[in-house]
Amino acid sequence: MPRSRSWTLIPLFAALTAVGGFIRIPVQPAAFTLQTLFVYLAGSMLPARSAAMSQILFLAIGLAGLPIFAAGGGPGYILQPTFGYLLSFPIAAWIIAKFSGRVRYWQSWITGVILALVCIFSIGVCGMYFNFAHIAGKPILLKHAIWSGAILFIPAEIAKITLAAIVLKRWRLSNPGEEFNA
Amino acid sequence: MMPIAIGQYIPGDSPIHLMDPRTKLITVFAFMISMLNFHELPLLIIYSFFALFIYRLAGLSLIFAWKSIRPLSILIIFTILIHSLGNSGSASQHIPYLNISFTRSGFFSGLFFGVRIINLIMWASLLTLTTAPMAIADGIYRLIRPLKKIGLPAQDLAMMISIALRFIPILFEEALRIHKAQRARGASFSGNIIQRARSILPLLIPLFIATFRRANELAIAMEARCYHSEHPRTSYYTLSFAKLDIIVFISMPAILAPIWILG
Repeated sequence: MPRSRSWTLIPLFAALTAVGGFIRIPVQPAAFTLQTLFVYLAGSMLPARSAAMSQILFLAIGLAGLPIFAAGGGPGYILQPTFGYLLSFPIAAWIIAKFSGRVRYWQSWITGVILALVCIFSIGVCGMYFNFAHIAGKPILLKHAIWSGAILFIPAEIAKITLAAIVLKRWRLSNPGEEFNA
Repeated sequence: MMPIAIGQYIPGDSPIHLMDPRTKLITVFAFMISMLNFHELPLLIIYSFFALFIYRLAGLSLIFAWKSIRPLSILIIFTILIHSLGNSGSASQHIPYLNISFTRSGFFSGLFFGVRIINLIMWASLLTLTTAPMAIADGIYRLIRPLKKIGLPAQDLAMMISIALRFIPILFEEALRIHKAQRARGASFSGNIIQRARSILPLLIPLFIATFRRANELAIAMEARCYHSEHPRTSYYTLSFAKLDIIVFISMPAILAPIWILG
């Protein structure tokens, strides 16, 4: 990827992740946002370093005070129980890019996405667990943290992975040869 | 759907507003680290009032302090409740039927953690309420610039932050426009889970393609203007420390000393 492309595509994906947090699909019991969808897409379309960089940029802008996270922004967001999920985005995007970069088989893409999902959930749940133990000062059971922080979100994440696959397929059909991560 | 354009920044010309963003970044960071190393409730409350004093000094109404705490209010209430109900101390109030007891010591430790969260948020928001996002980006850039020597692309990073800051409102408008356009064509955004997930596609794909075109055009425009990042950039507004910044740097250790000595 030429350097000028990475100068604009990395901020683009940072901005898309930010905007994705505001596109809400209201379903029962809780509405879900498209934030992680753009993490998957950044990983699928950019080289590993750039993909991680785009998510670091997203984090940096949110921490610097722009209200782009689910409940606002600013450095105080580190204290939110859900900050672990945000922290896992760069790593998740990097994992997907590593798996889908050179080999263009859908199996390797799926493997990467599943590993990224595991990474998001494990860092997110650890963050939540740590937050309750040390910032709220009240430990919760790890079992409950895993249940409410990961298992409940699996259906929504599978839906988003499917959406990401459809978007990628359409993109490759309409822009053949326009790949950035090869 | 447009909370981004406004942001948190409240323009003003108070001494806090005029302070160098680097000073504010370092001060707020020092305060937040100190707060976490801290176990005395009365002292914590004194520092909360000190934060409120700074809010007034910055010419901000205290409503802004409340607005920044509000998103975390559920967490704070939950913290206080779970502490006062869950602690196994001498029960001062037993609640029948539920078989839980309310303890005074638990309530106070909950209150301590609650006030600590409030304190941390108030200090953090002080930075973003009085500093424009671009000024924060500039301040961060100048603080991380020395790291260039160990290979951190500080200048590229600063440039990408400013491009992303510009992209976010544009993408919001784009998403809103596509949403309206697809509705006008009869797209429905309701139904069961699968229908709703599918209904997002006519929004997502045009958004994706349009924004890629935009990023491409910007890249070409930058190339055409011979943009490159090998040489350090110059800026129209240069940051420089003033007398006020030096006063803050000298008085900060004195203000924070009680935490490190008594905490």
